[in-house]
Amino acid sequence: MEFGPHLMLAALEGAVISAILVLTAMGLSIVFGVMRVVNVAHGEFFMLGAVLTWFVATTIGGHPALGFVAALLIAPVLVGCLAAFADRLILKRINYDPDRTIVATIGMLYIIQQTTLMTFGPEARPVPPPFNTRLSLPWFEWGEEGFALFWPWGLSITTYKLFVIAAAATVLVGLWVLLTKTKIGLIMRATQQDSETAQAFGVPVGRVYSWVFGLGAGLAALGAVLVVPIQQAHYLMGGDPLLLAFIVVIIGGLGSLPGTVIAALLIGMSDGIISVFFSPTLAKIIATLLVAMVLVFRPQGLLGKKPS
Amino acid sequence: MLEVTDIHSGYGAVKVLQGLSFSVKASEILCLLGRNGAGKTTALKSVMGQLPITAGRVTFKGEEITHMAPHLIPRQGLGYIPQGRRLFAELTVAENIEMGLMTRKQGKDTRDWVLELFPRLRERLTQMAGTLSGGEQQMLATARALCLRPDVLLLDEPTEGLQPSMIAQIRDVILKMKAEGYAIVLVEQRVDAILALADHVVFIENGRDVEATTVDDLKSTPAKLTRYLGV
Ligand SMILES: Nc1ncnc2c1ncn2[C@@H]1O[C@H](COP(=O)(O)OP(=O)(O)OP(=O)(O)O)[C@@H](O)[C@H]1O
Ligand SMILES: [Mg+2]
Repeated sequence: MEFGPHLMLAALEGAVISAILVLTAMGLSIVFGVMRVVNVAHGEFFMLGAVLTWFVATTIGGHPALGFVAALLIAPVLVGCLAAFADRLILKRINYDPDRTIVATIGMLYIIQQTTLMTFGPEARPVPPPFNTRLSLPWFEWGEEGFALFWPWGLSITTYKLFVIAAAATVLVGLWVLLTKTKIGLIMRATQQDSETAQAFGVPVGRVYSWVFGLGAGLAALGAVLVVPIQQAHYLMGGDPLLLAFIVVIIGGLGSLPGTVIAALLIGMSDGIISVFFSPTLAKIIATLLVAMVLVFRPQGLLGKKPS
Repeated sequence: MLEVTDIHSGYGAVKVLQGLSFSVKASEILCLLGRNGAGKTTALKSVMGQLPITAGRVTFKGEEITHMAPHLIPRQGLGYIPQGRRLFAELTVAENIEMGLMTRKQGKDTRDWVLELFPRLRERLTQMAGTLSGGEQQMLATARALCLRPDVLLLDEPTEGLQPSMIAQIRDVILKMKAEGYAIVLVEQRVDAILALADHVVFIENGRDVEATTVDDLKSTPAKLTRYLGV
């Protein structure tokens, strides 16, 4: 394949990776932003979403689309509720103390991971995509007769991957509307800035925290539902998304949601492109180097604010 | 309206209030006086439920609120203007006001009313609260609390760091609120402001009320100010 179409193919892979990553990283970022909690168990909520998707899809059976739609509705809500419950049960009791929440969420990580292993076993579980038509994509060239379109062999994308990109974009827009245009968003932002004063204006801060923790985990689970038709569900699959989400949140700037989106695009696209042209390992190395550079030269992240 | 009886409270192991009492009625301004660190701010925070009260009781409109959940206390009708204003700095002026309106589900008429009290804010509705001048910030903090249409207003050093014309404006609003029947608890350091505004005063030392008196008494025996405040 020529370079142009090859790059386009790599960019499309990168867009799919970005789409999943942006949902996962948003979850982590919102939880940190509002609650100042570094949720080390975030990747396990992702994993749980994936395994639940497999479980729901196989339980329902029939056409793949049936199970997938059911999982899309059930898994994020279930994982969100579980996270909200964990918040009440654990994080609230330790008063959201920054050090202790890290230790507590590490504990949650192992509990979720091992419980999943004991319940569903160690096998990787495939989930068929609800639809998967391959679409050929055109490429253009400047020939002797001027501008011409043609269909290079191998330049294609599945409808499912397009759906993943569109779904993530839709969720992002929804999230933006929720945060900036609704009362719920206003309450979340006020709580983020000054929880004590928010309380003096009738905000039930404890309940807001539970909802936010649930929302963050639900976003990770949603990313996972979208990913399992591409990548199999497995009890150890939470590690990579956690690492990448942390990388994205650090590069974007802790607590900055626009920064998180930009960084997710940056990391996802470079991951896709470098993986296609070179190797996935090199992609991870470069992402990690990028974090190191950001930490050295711009510790507050791309769009983060300098601590005053 | 608001009765605080022998309350004890503090920050974890640090005990600050050790038996503090005061009360305020409608259309009355009570001034809490005391040196820096006496526990004035702690007293207001305790009333608002932000600090746990370990002994004593707080009643509001005849109902005990001592151990009520902190987010329910403002909904009873207590408006709080904290020391240092504590605005939501990265929300706009309009959003800060919205937070106040939300507390007791107030509508457009309340919004119009506070914006009439502070026309300056109307011109700056889309500005971030953190970028307002000190005086404008104090107006917004006051407006935000008035948005509750509260029965009691708790004001913690509202004139701290303001220039005289701004102080006069805040003072006018406080007197207007008093005339409308609000009960007001005011923490204030400036003697002239105390003498001009207050009806009653309570002196606080080491987290206890050491003397409660009227402002007329204070005018006739200014030595008390020297004794308790060192001014
Ligand atoms: N978060 C805190 N943790 C521990 N101790 C505190 C805390 N906040 C205040 N204190 C202590 O409580 C005591 C009373 O403080 P408070 O803020 O109530 O004083 P104040 O009367 O409002 O003083 P000022 O006139 O300076 O505002 C002080 O000794 C202070 O050091
Ligand atoms: Mg004080």
